[in-house]
Formats: sequence, structure tokens, C-alpha cells
Amino acid sequence: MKYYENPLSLNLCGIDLKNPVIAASGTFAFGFEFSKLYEIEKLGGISVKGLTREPREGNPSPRIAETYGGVLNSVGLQNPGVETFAKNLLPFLAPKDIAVIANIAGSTEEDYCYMAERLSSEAAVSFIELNISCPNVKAGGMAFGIEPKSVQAITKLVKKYSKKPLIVKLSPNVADIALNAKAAENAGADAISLINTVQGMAVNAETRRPILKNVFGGLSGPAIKPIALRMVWQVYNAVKIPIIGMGGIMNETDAIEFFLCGATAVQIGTANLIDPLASLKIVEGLRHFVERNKLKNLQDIRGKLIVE
Amino acid sequence: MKEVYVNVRENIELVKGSIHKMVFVCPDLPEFLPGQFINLAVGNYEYGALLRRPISVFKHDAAAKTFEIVFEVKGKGTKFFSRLKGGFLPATLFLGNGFTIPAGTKKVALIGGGMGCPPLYSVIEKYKKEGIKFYTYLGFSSREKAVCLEDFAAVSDKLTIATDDGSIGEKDFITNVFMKDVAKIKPDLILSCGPVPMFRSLKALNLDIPTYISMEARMGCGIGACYVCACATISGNRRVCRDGTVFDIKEVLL
Ligand SMILES: Cc1cc2nc3c(=O)[nH]c(=O)nc-3n(C[C@H](O)[C@H](O)[C@H](O)COP(=O)(O)OP(=O)(O)OC[C@H]3O[C@@H](n4cnc5c(N)ncnc54)[C@H](O)[C@@H]3O)c2cc1C
Ligand SMILES: Cc1cc2nc3c(=O)[nH]c(=O)nc-3n(C[C@H](O)[C@H](O)[C@H](O)COP(=O)(O)O)c2cc1C
Ligand code: FES
Repeated sequence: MKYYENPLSLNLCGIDLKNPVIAASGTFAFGFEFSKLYEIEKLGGISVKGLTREPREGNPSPRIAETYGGVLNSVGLQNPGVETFAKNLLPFLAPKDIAVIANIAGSTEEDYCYMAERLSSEAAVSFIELNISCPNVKAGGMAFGIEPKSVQAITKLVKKYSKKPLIVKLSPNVADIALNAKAAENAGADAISLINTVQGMAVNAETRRPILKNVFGGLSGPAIKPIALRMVWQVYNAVKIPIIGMGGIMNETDAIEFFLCGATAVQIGTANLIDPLASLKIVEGLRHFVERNKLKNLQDIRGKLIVE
Repeated sequence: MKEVYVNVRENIELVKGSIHKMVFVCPDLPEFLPGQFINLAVGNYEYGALLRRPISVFKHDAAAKTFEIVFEVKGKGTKFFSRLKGGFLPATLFLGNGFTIPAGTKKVALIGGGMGCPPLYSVIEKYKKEGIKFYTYLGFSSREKAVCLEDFAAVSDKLTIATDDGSIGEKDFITNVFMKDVAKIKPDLILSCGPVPMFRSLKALNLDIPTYISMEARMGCGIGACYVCACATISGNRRVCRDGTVFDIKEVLL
């Protein structure tokens, strides 16, 4: 089926996706494991595990805690580094009909620029996602993602080195999300993705100790959906570039709420851990939704939230 | 590795209010290696218990399309499992690299601690017919928690038990009891599953026998995709769910 005949298809920053369902960074590794459970090409895209210039070991265990309606993680960007990704892991995704988003995180401006340039030379990479929002490590770039001024500066700089559409992934741990989104847009971002995890902690009352070895972690899952929807709606009303919404999407109904609030595409994170087939089921669910509502294209509902 | 629904056929309370054995039927049962685990959903992921619970396999019967787990009630998830009388649960099976016994091995020592004992049964189940001798050492806190003994007695060449309080077997750590016998039985291989302190004692014995241990970690996906289940090794952090759960004891930083 040609993309324009497919009611789930969309064009994101000049790139055709067969549907707007993208696996979120950090919950899908590099696609290999999930490909043993289903054909990952059925998804619109995959945002790979956050990459750093050099390999990283991440934080000590335990790195995950379950909370009411959510999950706290403190993985701390364990990844094999950008070079191993390009040489050994990307070739698995390259022949597949799925958009690859390279999620990058750094501790210096130079790291970000180097990775953007390096990954731009890879034909199999469709987008670069600037992660300036990982709450778990200093190298995760959250320092760049808090103040609108620094969001603008890093975006502007990396944009010069990126030959692929640049998605800026925003942190919810900020004062005014709309200001940060505008800052990214003004600096030349091609799209915005949000939200990354909300900083939190969990305590074991018996042992009187934090559950995560790292003490703090990032909260994800259904518990953060209301925050994510609010922020997507605020950003939609502030910028013109496309928005990739995420935060607690468990099923197609959740995804539709994000489209109504202005998202062009969605990413599915924690749901992949809870039900490994979740992303696939969401694609199917959206297909039924467009049929039931006789939509020519799912994009017709984008931003159509009725606020009276 | 497959995502399936498993049907609860039996749920037997082995220890009142604590340890249960559950028998599942699954028509679409994938291949299994001893020591592998399942990632079992707490119902249809009711909020409050979102994550799946990793539980090892006790017995596996490919022909009957059944398998069994033994678990101790700890918190929300295991309490939920303990109350089930039937029905279906989503699960990913079977996960982890499992225990392997190289060809030519003649004598294997199995060393289990607490809830790490039942998974060792699946090793004997698979390799018994190859004529390998199994010397099984199981350690528990007390007689009350010493489960599956009859199962092990039926298949082990020798079964030795130890408890912390001496209520059954020797009153000692199981690793100490094993140490007294090791010169006599001369195993070619040691396979172990249990708590980390037991692995530390095992490592401290400094035996010149290949030793493999099955590690635990808090998990997310259970399939290798989320990097939450790190275990520190001499070659850096590895994923317990995919690079393990079984590691060479020499490689793990215990
Ligand atoms: C590979 C593997 C195999 C296991 N096999 C068995 C088995 O055969 N029998 C058995 O009784 N137990 C086994 N466990 C431990 C079992 O997973 C935990 O006891 C169980 O997850 C506790 O869940 P809960 O909801 O009752 O407790 P809660 O405290 O409510 O759990 C909260 C969260 O912490 C996690 N968690 C708590 N304790 C552990 C633990 N010890 N290990 C890993 N995650 C934990 C839970 O999965 C959950 O995500 C195994 C663990 C692993 C990693
Ligand atoms: C275990 C785990 C690891 C994550 N790692 C990354 C990462 O490397 N880079 C990143 O940009 N976001 C990472 N995230 C954040 C997710 O991509 C997503 O923004 C967030 O979890 C909210 O979506 P969700 O509620 O659907 O999970 C991670 C999330 C989880 C749960
Ligand atoms: S639990 Fe996800 S990688 Fe091991």
C-alpha cells in the first residue's frame, strides 16, 4: 500500500511513516529482542536506546521500581556507544522498512555535535532525537534542557551538524514547557518530542532505604499521562512544528487522546515492558479506530480537541 | 521466546500463607532450557502492579504442554498469583540463557538456597537420561520452608539438606556441608541458584571446578530491551535477563 492510500500514514518532517506509532527510546533497545516476538516493521518507527559518544555502563542496580500506575527507572544511559551502534547494531535495522530515530545524549556540546554529525552519515538513520532530558545522569543532558536559553543554544548548535531532521526531546521537569518548545523551534528544531520521564523517588518503609540505588529515578507509565497530555496541548498551542507525544500510552485510546491534543505521532515506552505486544496492538487499534470513524487519514483528528 | 496466555490448571499451597506451586497449561509451549524463567503478568496489568514478575520454571513437560513454578508470597504480585484458582495470564516464555551441561560431564553438584532450589529440578529433568549423576545440596531457613524435597529425592543420586535452624538436615550453611563432601564426590561441574550471600560463600570455597550461578535482578521487560536488570561483571554491566541469568561465578562481581 502506498503511504497516501494508507489511513494511518503520515509525513513527518519530509519522511513517510506507515503509521504514527514509534517505540520510545530505552524500552526497545535496538529492536533485536522485540523482533523475536513480532515483526517490528509493523511499527512506524523505533527510537533507539539513548546513545552516548563513548560506551556507558549506566548506574548500579536496582535500577527499577514499581509505583502506583507507574515505573521509576534509573538505568543511566547504559549503551554501547555511537560507534558500536553504527557498525554492529544499525545494520540489523537498516534493511527494515521502519524509520530509525537515533536518540543521542551527551555531557558536552561537543559530544552532541560529534554524534549528530557521525549519525548523519548513516543512510539508515532517518531522524536524530536530541535527548536533553534524561534525569538519571549528568551526561544525560538535562542540564541543557531546563532553561529555555540553553535549549535554544544547544538546538541551534546541533542543527548545524545534523543533516537529518532534528527532533528535540523535552523534559517535563521545567517551569514552562511552552517556552522550552518555542526555544527549540526558534533554534531550528524540525520537531519536538515530549515528555521524557518525571523525576521521582521510591522508598522501602521496611528497610528505610530508597528502592533505587541511584536514589532518584525517572517516572513513566500511566501515572504521568495527564502531565504529558497537558504539556503536549500547551506545546501544540505554542509552536508550528510537529509534535511526537508520549508518556503513559498503554492502548490506542490513550494514543488518540495525544492526537486530539495535537500530536502528529506518538511514542510508546513503558507499555512495551508491561505487554511486549503493546505497540503492535496500538497500531491495530488505531486501524480499527479510523475504520469505525470513517476517517480518510488519522491525521484528520490532530489537534481537534474541543475546549468549550 | 514467545508471548502467550498461560492457563492456571492447579494452584497448590505448599506452605500455609507462603509458598505455592502452580501448574500451567499452554498449547503453544515454546522450547525450554533448564533454569529459564517466565515473565508473568499480574493479571491484565491492573494498575498498582504494572510490571511482570520473573519466576523460574520448576518442571516442564513438552508432551503434556504443561509447566510448573514454585513461588513464595512476597508482595502484591505474588499475593495475587497465590489467590488464583484458574483463568489465563499473559506471560513471556521462556527467558534467559539457562543452564547447560557440556558433553562428557559425568557428575554434577547442584547447590540451591531457598526459592532458588526448585529451578534446579529442571536441570535433572533434562539431563538425567544422559546418565549424568546428580548430587543435590539444598539449603533452607527451616523445615517449614523446605519444599519439593520428595521431587528432588526421587531424581537425585544423593540429596543433602541443611537448614539455618537445624529443624531438618544439618544445621549449617549448605555451602559448608557441600565443602565437606566435595573431595569425595569430585563433581565436574557445579550449578547453583539462590541468594547472593550463598554465591559469595560458594566463591569463597575457591574450588577448581567450573561453577555457574543463576542471578536475580529487578526486571522490566525480561527480554533484554530495557537495560534495567544490570549485574556487575568483570566485563562490565550485563543484562541478567538476556546475557544471564546464568553466569560463570568467576565473571560476576558478587
Ligand atoms: C530470574 C528470576 C527468577 C525468579 N524465580 C523465582 C522463583 O522461582 N520463585 C520465587 O518465589 N521467586 C522468584 N524470583 C523472585 C520473584 O521475582 C519476586 O519475589 C517477585 O517479583 C516479588 O513480586 P511481588 O509483587 O510479590 O513483590 P513486590 O515487592 O510487590 O514487588 C515489587 C517489584 O519488585 C520486584 N521484585 C521484588 N523482589 C524481587 C526479587 N527478589 N527479584 C526480582 N524482582 C523482585 C517485583 O518483580 C516487582 O516489580 C525470581 C526472580 C528473578 C529475577
Ligand atoms: C527503562 C527506561 C529507559 C529509558 N531510556 C531512555 C533513553 O535512553 N533516552 C530517552 O530519551 N528516553 C528514555 N526513556 C524515556 C522514554 O523514552 C519516555 O520518554 C518516557 O518513558 C515516557 O513514556 P512512557 O510513559 O510511554 O514510558 C526511558 C524510559 C524507560 C522506562
Ligand atoms: S529486564 Fe529489560 S533488559 Fe533485562
